[in-house]
Amino acid sequence: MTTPVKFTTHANLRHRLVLATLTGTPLHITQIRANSMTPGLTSSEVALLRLLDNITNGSFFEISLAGTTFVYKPGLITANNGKPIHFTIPETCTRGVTYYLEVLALVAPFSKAAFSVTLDGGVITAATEEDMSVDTFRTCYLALFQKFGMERNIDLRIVKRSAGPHGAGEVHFVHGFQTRVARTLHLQTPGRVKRIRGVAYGIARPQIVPADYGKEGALEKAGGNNKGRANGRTRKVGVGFGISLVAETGTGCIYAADATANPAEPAEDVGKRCAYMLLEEIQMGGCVGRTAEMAAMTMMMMGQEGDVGRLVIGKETIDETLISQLRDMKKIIGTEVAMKEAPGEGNVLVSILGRGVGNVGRKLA
Amino acid sequence: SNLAENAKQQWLERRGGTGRIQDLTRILYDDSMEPAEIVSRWKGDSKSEDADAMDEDEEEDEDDFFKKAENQDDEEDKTSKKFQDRTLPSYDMDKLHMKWAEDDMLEALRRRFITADLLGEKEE
Repeated sequence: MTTPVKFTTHANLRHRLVLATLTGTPLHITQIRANSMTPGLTSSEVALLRLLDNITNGSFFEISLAGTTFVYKPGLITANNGKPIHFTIPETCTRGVTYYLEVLALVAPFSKAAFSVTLDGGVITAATEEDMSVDTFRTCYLALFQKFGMERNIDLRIVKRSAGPHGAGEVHFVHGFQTRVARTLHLQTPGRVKRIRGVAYGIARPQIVPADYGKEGALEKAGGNNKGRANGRTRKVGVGFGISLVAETGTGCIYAADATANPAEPAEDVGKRCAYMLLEEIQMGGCVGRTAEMAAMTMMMMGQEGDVGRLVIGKETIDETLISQLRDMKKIIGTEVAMKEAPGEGNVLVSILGRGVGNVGRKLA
Repeated sequence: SNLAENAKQQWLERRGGTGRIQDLTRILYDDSMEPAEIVSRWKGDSKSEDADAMDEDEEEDEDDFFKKAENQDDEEDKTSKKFQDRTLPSYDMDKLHMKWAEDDMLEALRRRFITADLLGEKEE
């Protein structure tokens, strides 16, 4: 087996796991929150590793006692041989469900069999501070895969919505479009915005069921202060609201923004906040918004060997995260990207060579 | 047309990041530099250069033996993107409010919409 690629800290952890899984490269990650008050992997990160274990066959994980170090040897992406997978995310996980879905969406096209994954437990379908909402995931992130020729049998069903910080929702992700390599992408005309659409969501739940009122009343009669005793099963979970905005250009490029209400924030402010974010994204330009930019580049690297894909991005979208992710790609896959000025203000043309490492399962078939 | 010219000028000025892309590709995979360093060097940001200089001063003052450990808590260090694993970009909302409350900015952005009147302007 090849020697593991070494990384430190939990930065870009998901992207590294995706790259490793796709290429079958072992990872050795150290110093995860080593200086933090809460050292080691978070429960969301551990849940992600367990999910990866569920969708692959023969993966090997070894996590140190404190959780600050782990080794991952990826197995074959089999998706349980096409049989439905049911995965419960622990309630302590505070990341949005798209944290996991993004990984699934990138890995699924290169699976041996179709994906059918149901996620429940601590599922937060609303946007969080770090993760997009399921609506943006559907309209922006999944839409990106059409450009790689993956259109059929891809769906995300939202069974039960929930907002943070402790989710209680349920989603069902289906990905039945398995391919060997991704189609080479040529996306060079950002175009002008022709349409802005959005989804506003609100989750409300009865705070206390009538039976509990009765119980509380009875306890009160019996004497003593029993207020708040009736929580437990009926506690307020996943209540909140938010908005997801998506702008589409004439050439089919998509920008997105997400906002979820902070405690006691009026709806108008949430909408305004989201609108401003969308304006900012539109101004930055390029052919993909920042939410899907890295996904696009990753898929481009999974393209036909020797084919060069081209993608125009906004110059302002190049930040330290993007740079470190490009470096990760070089470290794991071994390709460098080329960049040059593109026509139009602030546009950069990125050329990426496909590696054709594609789908190991399909190669045999 | 003068108005449009002005708007364009303003637009270019405020976009920040004057760096040429060739400068970036040259240092992109230079592992001796941290990604954050690359960005500030590429953009030729005078502000960050000042900050760098200040950092150096501070370091000289400090005792060499005791180095403060880098803080990896996401919550406490929001300014640094170094240790993050997020999808949504982080925005400075105050800045955005200031920026997009101005009509000039909205007017400049109008060109990115299909409803804009581009008569007399060349479009790529």
